Amino acid sequence: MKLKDFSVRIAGLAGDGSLLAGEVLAYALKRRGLYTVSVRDFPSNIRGLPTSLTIRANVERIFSWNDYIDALIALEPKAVYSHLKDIRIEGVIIIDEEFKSENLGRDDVYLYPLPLRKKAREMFKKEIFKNIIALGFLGYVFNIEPEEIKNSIMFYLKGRSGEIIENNMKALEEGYSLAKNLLKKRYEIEKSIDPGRYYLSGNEAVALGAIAAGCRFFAAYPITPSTEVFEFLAKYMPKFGGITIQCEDEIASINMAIGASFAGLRAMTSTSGPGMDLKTEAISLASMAEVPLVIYHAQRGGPSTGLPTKTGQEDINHILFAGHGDVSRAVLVPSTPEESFEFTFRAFNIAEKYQIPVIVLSEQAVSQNQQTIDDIPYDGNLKWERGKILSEEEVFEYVKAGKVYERYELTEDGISPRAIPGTKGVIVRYNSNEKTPDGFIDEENEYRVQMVQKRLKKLERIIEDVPEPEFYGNKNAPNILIGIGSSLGPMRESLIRLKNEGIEMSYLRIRTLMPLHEDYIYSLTYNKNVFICELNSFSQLKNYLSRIWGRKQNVYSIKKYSGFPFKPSEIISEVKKILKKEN
Amino acid sequence: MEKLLNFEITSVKAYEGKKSTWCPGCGDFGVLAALKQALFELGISPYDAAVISGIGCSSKFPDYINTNAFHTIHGRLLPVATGVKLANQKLNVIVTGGDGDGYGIGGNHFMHAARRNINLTYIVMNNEIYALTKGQVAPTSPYGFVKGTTPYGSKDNPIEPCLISLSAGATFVARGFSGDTKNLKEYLKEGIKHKGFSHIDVLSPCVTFNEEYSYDYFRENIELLNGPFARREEAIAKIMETWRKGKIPVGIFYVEEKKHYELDIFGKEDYSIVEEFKTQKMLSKEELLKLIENKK
Repeated sequence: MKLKDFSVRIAGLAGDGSLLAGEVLAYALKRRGLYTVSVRDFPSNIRGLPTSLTIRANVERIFSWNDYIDALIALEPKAVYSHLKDIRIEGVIIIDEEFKSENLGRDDVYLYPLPLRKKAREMFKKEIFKNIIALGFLGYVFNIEPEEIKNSIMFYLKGRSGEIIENNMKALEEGYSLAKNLLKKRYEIEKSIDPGRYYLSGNEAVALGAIAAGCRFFAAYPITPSTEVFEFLAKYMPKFGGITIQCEDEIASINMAIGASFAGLRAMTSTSGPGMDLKTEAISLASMAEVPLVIYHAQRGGPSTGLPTKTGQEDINHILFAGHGDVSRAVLVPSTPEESFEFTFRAFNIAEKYQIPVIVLSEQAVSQNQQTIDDIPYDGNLKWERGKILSEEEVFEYVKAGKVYERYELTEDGISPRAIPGTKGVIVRYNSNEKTPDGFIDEENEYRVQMVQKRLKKLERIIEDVPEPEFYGNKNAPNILIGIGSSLGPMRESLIRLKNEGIEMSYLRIRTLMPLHEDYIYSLTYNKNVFICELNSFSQLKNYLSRIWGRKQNVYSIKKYSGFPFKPSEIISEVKKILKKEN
Repeated sequence: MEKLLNFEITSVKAYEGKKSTWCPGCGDFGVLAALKQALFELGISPYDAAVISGIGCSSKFPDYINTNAFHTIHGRLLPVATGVKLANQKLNVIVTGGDGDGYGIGGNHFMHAARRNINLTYIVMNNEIYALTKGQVAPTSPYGFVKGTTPYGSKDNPIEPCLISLSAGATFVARGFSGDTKNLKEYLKEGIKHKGFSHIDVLSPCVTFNEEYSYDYFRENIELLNGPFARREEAIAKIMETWRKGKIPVGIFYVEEKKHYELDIFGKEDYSIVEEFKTQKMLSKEELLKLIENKK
């Protein structure tokens, strides 16, 4: 049987090696030219709690996981129960033979109890190799050449000892040979011959985007699910003359980035959930003092410590409104590694052009899950655009003309030229208080009003520089889905499947939450049934968008808050339920 | 262009900022005068200095001095200043704040800046009171202090900031008195010249809300220690001994020559990422893709 689209899940307890085996498999699939998406489910714990990696592969670009899985490797016997319902008919389960399978309750699947632990102990005196033995078995089931997985092991274990690599290779071969003797059912996956693609997580893409954008200062406090950005930058920033610094807390990190930006650098900080709470005051500062700043925020389930390692879109309200007073900001929301890269790059240009904080709002399912992508969107369209930053020559013109440089000069567009502190001839005075154009504290009505208007003016044109919503499907369809972030893939797949059931649907994916493309959204959604997909319980996205339509429009929220991204079937059944109720 | 921009600073007037709004007689005037004089005598032009402050009376400092400046938010002056310094070490970064600002809300940053030994000069105008909010206790106020929010007397014990910075790893620790600008100016000069984290606590009377700690009180109770002491432990012991006698220790307590944070990271003095970046071009696509290939 030939598979065009297939999903595999490797599940166990933290420490069982399920993530490694999954990564190895995904990379092997990517090398043979398949597009993959992986969904990580892991606990906020080092060892002993359920962990799994689901990999879906397809000959075409995909953006989300599927409703079912074709095969399960259960490295920890009990894991089989948690995932049983997801296995499709005629699917494959690989488990340890020590597990007694009588009570499984499913006779429509192929069950392979294997001596995983026994073999690993016999061969290597270590149980840990059971993951690669199981992977070898799976490789045979899906007709993947051992060489392909071996190359992938080499990639993942680069720098490890020869013995470890060799043992992994032996374990893999053992898996293949077990399969040859036991196999009842074998599948073939469709092959593609174009291997020139990249396997990347959203976090890695954000880090790449920052380096490409000329960010040379990064300060943060490690927090899941954003830490990989830090780790990637820590490795590469010094090579470009820059610095990363792990701070005592989130407050210090954002304020350091503000200091570096004041000094003339492109600076960034990254965080998640509770970390963003702590950064809020400094976002007000960046807005008020007109300091360009990029803040990367990967959402997790909340509130408080919440679900540290799982996804959510619960911070929409916070990101849009964090800070006291009228705080300027732009908020970009990527869905893919490509967009994580591009939006991060563009965030630096927007931050410097308008001298405001720009937030790149991601979520665990986008930031940590890896996808195979065609290419990094890095071409002539992305340039360092530093806005009104004064060169030494321009500063010299000020001095020659006998003009006093004013950091907050009142200009036509509300944007004042920025001089770099340390440039001879000008004093650069930033202030978090209300101020006169030259930056001195001033609370008098005259300047207060002018300064507020100046900051307002800057916001008028940002819409020209931020990513537009993405529309997909038939413009005349009476129903439309709206979503952000990880909802992209499930929404796209829902459209196709709903059409087969006679329900015409389109989707609109919002890529900038602030400023909002209100007219565009209005024109595409007016008088339609609008279904807003969101991963929170308060309908935060729906409440925010509802001002576009007023009260009369049929707007419904499709909510999920389990910590996982949508599955297409969940959207489909909700849409059908709502439509049925309305008719 | 060179010639026109090559200003020679001929008088301390070059550092004159806006007219201050401090209360007449405020201790902070002495600190302001001492700092201007120190910068002038050290030949640091206003263009090469950046004064970073938090919030409070003392944090209005940047308005009253003519240098690059950033008036930031409560307690966060040290992180902002750290970002400035790491971006461009050619700037002389002076951090000016108060005791509530730096020892209360910013207490954590204080400890970590000291342990990092970043090359900053941190001047704390310590009036042992929250003044801008019109008179409440500070972390340095004594036990039993009766003020607006502690009508029955404060139940908190005061901290000794110099012992904190000493034990956290600061490499220059001193205490001055704003009524003695002559000595204070010298401490500031030494602190600015010092490569590493310099903490200078300055007794700076609040003439409006803290009559208990007046100029006269300090004049009668300070004791000049014969520092700097050779070892950190010795400095700590001498400070504690002085307090036990009921006296307030002042002077330069401790100086240590040690590789400062930026030097440790970049391997050279006066490195400026801002300048380095000027010479950089955008990465080529190939360079970018190489980063992905090597990610593991």
